[in-house]
Amino acid sequence: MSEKKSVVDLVDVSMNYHSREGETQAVSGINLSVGVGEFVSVVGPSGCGKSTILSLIAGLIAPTTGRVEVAGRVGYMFQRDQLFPWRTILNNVLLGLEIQKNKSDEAIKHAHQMLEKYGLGDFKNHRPKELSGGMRQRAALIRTLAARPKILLLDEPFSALDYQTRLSVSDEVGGIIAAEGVTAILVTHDISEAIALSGRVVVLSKRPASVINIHKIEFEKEFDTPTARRKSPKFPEYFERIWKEMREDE
Amino acid sequence: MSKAQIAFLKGLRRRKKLVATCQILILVSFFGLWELAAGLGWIEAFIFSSPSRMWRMLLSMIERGELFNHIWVTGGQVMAGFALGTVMGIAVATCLWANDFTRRVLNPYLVVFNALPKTALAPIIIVWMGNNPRAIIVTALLISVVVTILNVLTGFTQVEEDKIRLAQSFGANKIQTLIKVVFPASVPDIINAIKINIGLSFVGVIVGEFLVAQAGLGFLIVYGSQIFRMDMVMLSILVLCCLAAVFYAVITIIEKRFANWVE
Repeated sequence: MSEKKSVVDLVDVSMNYHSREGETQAVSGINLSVGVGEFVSVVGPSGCGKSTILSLIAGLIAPTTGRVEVAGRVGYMFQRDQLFPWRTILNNVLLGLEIQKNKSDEAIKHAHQMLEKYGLGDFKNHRPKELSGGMRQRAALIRTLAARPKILLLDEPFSALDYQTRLSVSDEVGGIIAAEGVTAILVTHDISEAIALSGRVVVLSKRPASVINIHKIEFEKEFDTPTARRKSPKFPEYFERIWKEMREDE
Repeated sequence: MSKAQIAFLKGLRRRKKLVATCQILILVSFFGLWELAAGLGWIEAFIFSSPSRMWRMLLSMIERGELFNHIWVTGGQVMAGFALGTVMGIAVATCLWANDFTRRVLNPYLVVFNALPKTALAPIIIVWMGNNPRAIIVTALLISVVVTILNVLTGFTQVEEDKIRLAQSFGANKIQTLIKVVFPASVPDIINAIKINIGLSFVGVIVGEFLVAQAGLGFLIVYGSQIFRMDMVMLSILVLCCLAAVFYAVITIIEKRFANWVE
């Protein structure tokens, strides 16, 4: 990745949690750098400390040892959409700008444009509960993007959706992220989701999480959306390799 | 609309009507029986009063212009005690939410103070504050404030962690987190606290009026029983019921206004 400028660098990052029961090491000696515009997925068994890595990148917690370097503002997308039921879709989308006291006409216009562009133009004044799960997740993504983050952190954003919706929403979200050109880091336990969406897949060991391997994912041009990728003959090969690594770790 | 649907809706409406009819019937028969029993001498009307005697008392009190004054005094004190209790309760809950250490330190005191029947403190407050409406309002405030603190604090601490993390990921500070996330997310809990507070403020005000007041419905009840005018006592209780109902109706309207606040 030396030819690209990196926006996220984790250097020998370890993270320990302290509790009455003792000290647990969640993350151990992770090195990772993510280049501009890259889509990187982090897969690993549940509870291995994947989310801890996102919290570290977001600056919500500080590493015990090592360095975390992030160039630019970070946007977060959660497992559940976390749209506020007391706000309309538009006002939900404007939340980040409001907190950052950046409600310039230009920023608001940008938010409106994204809502229109990604099919939520008619729902600006609706409440979240009037929208389907997929639409809500799209609204949540637009809310995150409206604050113009350089890096987008996705914490299992599709796991609360049913399988059908999940496929179409990951297509949509993948498309929006590509169109807006943001760097994205996705954490998931779903190997196929990781392969379908990303350019690189980082495989983590079980707790304490360390990097087992990093796979470069490349598909031919005709398989350019997440759903199309799933139909490529290379897809099961990638899956097999990653799955095996995770199995051997157990 | 299908026939079955029409029949279903009709059934719903009929049921609703039936419930309302029964409710009115209970009220009418209660007062009817009371009047009848007093008229036929089954009960002593001098002690038990009767709807017609209460009615005459009502007319004479309206005529003398004193009833509305008493209602106004009690209602005003309830509102003052209630408003102060709610605002102070929310303010204290906010401070405790913001400071985990203080919350832990004060928790046992709050729990014990909550379990204490606050009416026991009314005589002390009257000694300290004197024989005036202020003492009554403080009694009402004391009764409602602890419950408010505990309820609202529970609401605050139950706000989904990811909602707060979301705000923080946008760079929200503690005050922004409070205003944009924690307060609005806790509106249902705050409304619940308000509902409880109205009832508690009435308790506080009536107890206070029993002890010191020169006016108000609580005063009328005590005064009436001392001079053995049970018509006055019963009427005051009935008016108190109506006043509580009005307060409650207002809160129900506010609650409806926030109906789409939650998922």
